[in-house]
Amino acid sequence: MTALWLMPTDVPEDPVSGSLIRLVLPAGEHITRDIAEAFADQARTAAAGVRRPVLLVITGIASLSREARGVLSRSRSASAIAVLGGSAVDRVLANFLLGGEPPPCPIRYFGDEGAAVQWLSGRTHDR
Amino acid sequence: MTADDGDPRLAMLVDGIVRLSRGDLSSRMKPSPARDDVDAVITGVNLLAEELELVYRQFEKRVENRTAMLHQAHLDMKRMAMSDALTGLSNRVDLVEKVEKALSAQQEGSPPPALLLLDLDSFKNINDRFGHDAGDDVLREVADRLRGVVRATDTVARLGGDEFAILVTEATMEIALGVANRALESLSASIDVGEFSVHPRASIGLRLATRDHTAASLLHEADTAMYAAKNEGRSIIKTFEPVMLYNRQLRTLMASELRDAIGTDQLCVHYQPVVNLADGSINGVEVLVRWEHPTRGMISPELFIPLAEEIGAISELDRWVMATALQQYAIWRAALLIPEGFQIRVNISAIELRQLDMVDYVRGLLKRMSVPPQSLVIEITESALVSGGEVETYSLLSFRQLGVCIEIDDFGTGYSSISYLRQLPVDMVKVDRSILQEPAKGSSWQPEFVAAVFQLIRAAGLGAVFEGIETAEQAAFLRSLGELSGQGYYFSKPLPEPAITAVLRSGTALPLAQSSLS
Repeated sequence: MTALWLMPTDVPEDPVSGSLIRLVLPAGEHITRDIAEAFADQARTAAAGVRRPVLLVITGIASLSREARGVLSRSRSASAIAVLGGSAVDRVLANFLLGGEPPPCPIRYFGDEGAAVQWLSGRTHDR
Repeated sequence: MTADDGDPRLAMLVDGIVRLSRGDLSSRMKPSPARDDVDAVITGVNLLAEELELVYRQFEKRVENRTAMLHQAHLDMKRMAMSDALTGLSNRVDLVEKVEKALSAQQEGSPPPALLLLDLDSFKNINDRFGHDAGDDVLREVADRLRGVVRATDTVARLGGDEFAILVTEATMEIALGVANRALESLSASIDVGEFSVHPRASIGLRLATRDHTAASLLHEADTAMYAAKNEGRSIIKTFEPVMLYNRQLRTLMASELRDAIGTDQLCVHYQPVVNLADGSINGVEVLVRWEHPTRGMISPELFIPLAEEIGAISELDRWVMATALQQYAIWRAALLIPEGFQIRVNISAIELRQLDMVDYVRGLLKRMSVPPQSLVIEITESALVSGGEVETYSLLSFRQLGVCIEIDDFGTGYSSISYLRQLPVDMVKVDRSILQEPAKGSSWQPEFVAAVFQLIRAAGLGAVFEGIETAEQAAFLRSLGELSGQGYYFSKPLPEPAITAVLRSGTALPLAQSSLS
């Protein structure tokens, strides 16, 4: 099941979309450390040793444990992380994700996917 | 929308916050599937509660750790405060606490405790000769041995220096004496210090508590008994007797009086002639200090010299005697009362040899008084010479370099071996009076033995002076041995200054009553 959560984009003509890793956390789930670890592992595999921008979709998740937040915000394979949500609850959850330990890369919350991808594309130049 | 409007989530939110505010930090609220602003607040409060709970748990854990550390530090400090760092035994504070407990138990009907105070004999010599590390090793070994002679309920403590204590709880005199005897026995075996062996003998004072004792008075009385044991000799156990307290008070009083007396007219020196046995001519005098106490009369030097050593007044005393003697010598010399080769003999305490400035002091006096160094003989007891360390040897060599003669005093009472006689930087030997009185005081003396001692001294290339000559027979026999000097009541007792000056002025041979020495 976790394999489905990792969905590298299939839009090859967009240079940003082509390189970003899209992680979609399962809606309605309580995201624990184990789930977060599985995501992080697969993101690392997808990145194949290169730091890449990550779009982390948290829309509709039930909760995000403290440990899971630690795992996601400490990602070593991301050059930047855009956290995408859809509701006020997502926004609160996302901001707890951002407000923890200083992350190793730029990380920011978006309520709109287009803005998120655009921001990530801007970040690719930072590499 | 408000709670009154009917959104049950707001009421739930209020209840949830109330629970949290009461301290139930595990309380969480379930957001609705609507995921609207109210749910966002609920989610935020849940997350904040989670953070708060975590911080609180961490804080509690930290407090718990710090409390444990504090408790451990307190225990460590208490152990350190209650134990002797060198030996791990109890220290004085712990001992006093345990004595107080034992005395309380006695008030409630338990048998009384007994306190043993134990002081190592001559421990200072071990430190001086082998160094403080070796001294520490000896103290640790003594501590181990003492631990081995007590019962589990007893306490062994080190009070400081070479002083130990054993608290025997629920004791009888028999039990306490048993512990004391075992302690002495345990110390009878030697302790190896590097290449040498030392015998850690001890003096023990014992006091069985009465119902009237406090910890302080019990300690004081055990200490008084130990003090009496120490004065009596080595490896002795003394049980407290009230008279000991009186003796100790007297000694304390005498110590303070002695300090005051030095340098005043209470102290004076007497001079005992040393006679050339061949013709009875006086070839020197031994200077002997006397204490004329204003109320107690003449106090024996055998009493007050050890006291002066004990209270640290010996240096002042020795220097006063030396200055007085050399000044007198200078007066006699100026008045042409003394023949060529006349020597003034002054005793110096072993302690004084450790004072590095003593040689300078004597050099200064000799120069100021214009006394030739060879006219001064410094008499040092045999035991001081034998047990002396590097500083003592350095002082002796410096005196010799100055030209002063060194004489072993009381020869035959210490530990000199024949080889020592040849090694020590001395010129003369004064044979102790006991040699003339051997084998037992009062019985007939043994000329052959005396002759052998004299031969030994001669063979070592040293001059001999016999003291304690009391009879014409002894004098005649010693004269027959060869050229030597002597002193004793047969010739003259020690005389005060005017009397000895008169004898010197007369130029007569001694003994005075004797008209001829043939």
